Amino acid sequence: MDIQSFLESGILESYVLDQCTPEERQQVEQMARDHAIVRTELEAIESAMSNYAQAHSLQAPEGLREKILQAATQPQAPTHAGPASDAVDQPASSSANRIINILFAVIALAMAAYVLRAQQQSKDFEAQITDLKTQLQACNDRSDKNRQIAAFIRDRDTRSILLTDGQNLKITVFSNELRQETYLDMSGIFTPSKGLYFQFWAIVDGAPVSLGMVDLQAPGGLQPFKYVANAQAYAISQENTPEGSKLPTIVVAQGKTS
Amino acid sequence: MLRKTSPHREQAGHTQMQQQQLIERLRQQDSQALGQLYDAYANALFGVMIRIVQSKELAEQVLQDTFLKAWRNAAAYDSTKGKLFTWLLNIARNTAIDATRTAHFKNSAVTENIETLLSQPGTQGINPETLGLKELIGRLDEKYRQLIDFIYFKGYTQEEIAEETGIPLGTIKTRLRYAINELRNLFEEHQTA
Repeated sequence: MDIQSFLESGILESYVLDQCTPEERQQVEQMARDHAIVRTELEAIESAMSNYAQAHSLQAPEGLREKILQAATQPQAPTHAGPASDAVDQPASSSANRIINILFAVIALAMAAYVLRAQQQSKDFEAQITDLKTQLQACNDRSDKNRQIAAFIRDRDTRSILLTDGQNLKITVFSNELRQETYLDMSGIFTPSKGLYFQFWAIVDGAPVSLGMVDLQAPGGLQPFKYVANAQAYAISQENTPEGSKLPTIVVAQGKTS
Repeated sequence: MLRKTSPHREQAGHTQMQQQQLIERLRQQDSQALGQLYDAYANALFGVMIRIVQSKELAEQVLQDTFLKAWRNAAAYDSTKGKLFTWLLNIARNTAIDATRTAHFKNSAVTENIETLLSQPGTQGINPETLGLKELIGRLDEKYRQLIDFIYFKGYTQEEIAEETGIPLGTIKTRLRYAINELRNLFEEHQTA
């Protein structure tokens, strides 16, 4: 490929935008090494994209700088301290020597014990912090999940379909074609008798399509199911096995989508 | 057609020599160098991240991840392959774009309207030159700006855009090249003005 075609191929733009394959990247780098004009073009594209990024500058959050520096420079665990090695005038007598050596040994042992205890405490604290982080993450995950569900329900494209038994039972299905999501609201469902299970269905072209078994313990009270296009109705059936059936056994509630 | 070459702006905040010294100190795990890196580039990176993840909290997390990645991988930076800011930008963009591709983010309700976010106190552009650059970008034809935004802020590849829009890949590549050329013209006029 001649230089001009190479410059006009768009590969340099892809390189700067980090969208090249490894082979393309190597090719660009080789061409840049071999041809000054390629280097110049690359630098000019880089400069344009840098300016583009600069144009969108926003003040970074306060305190983040310190947070990053702290995270980057985690303090090291204290190292095992050796015995003091100050030069000491040697006493003339050997018994004095022995006493001094014993004293040093005791001090060294005490320091070692202190350091080991500090290390153990540090490990304990780290374990506690890890545990707290895990709990916090779990809380955040639950909170996120609840926000997801709230956003789904508030979405103007989400439709609600009421399933009833014609009497008191009312169960809501939320469905969103654009998001391709369907949720079943547990709040209207009663606990079935022992040995019985609920199965959720979509009716498509007059035929029931199983969406799965109902989990009354679904987090947040809403159970997600796969979205089925062109569902004319939804239904809940009562089944005798936890795996459900190929066809509804006893329909306990149903509702049309339109 | 060959473009006339002209001196381009040095990366924000650092001359080439200063960049080289900075990266050397980063490789030696000099934390002051990390602080200087932050001071030079955090605002530009944060602005890009907000555009990508559209959430202040997530952008803050991604910004932190970016600088920590740069800190831990300073040895991987090769000055012969591009400027320091470009290297950082690509780490930042990839980290932010990856964050938007998690299942968690896709269903998250924490995304904020981008215009609301940008109108909040403390989230304004930070200096007149930034505002000037922003004004220049506003002069770019809408379809070119959208194309750059799709690639730069939404992480679409040119192939994905071609597939989504039905526009031939060759046309997309030509338009992108044209769009970036136009940006170059606008920025160079601004510098020489």
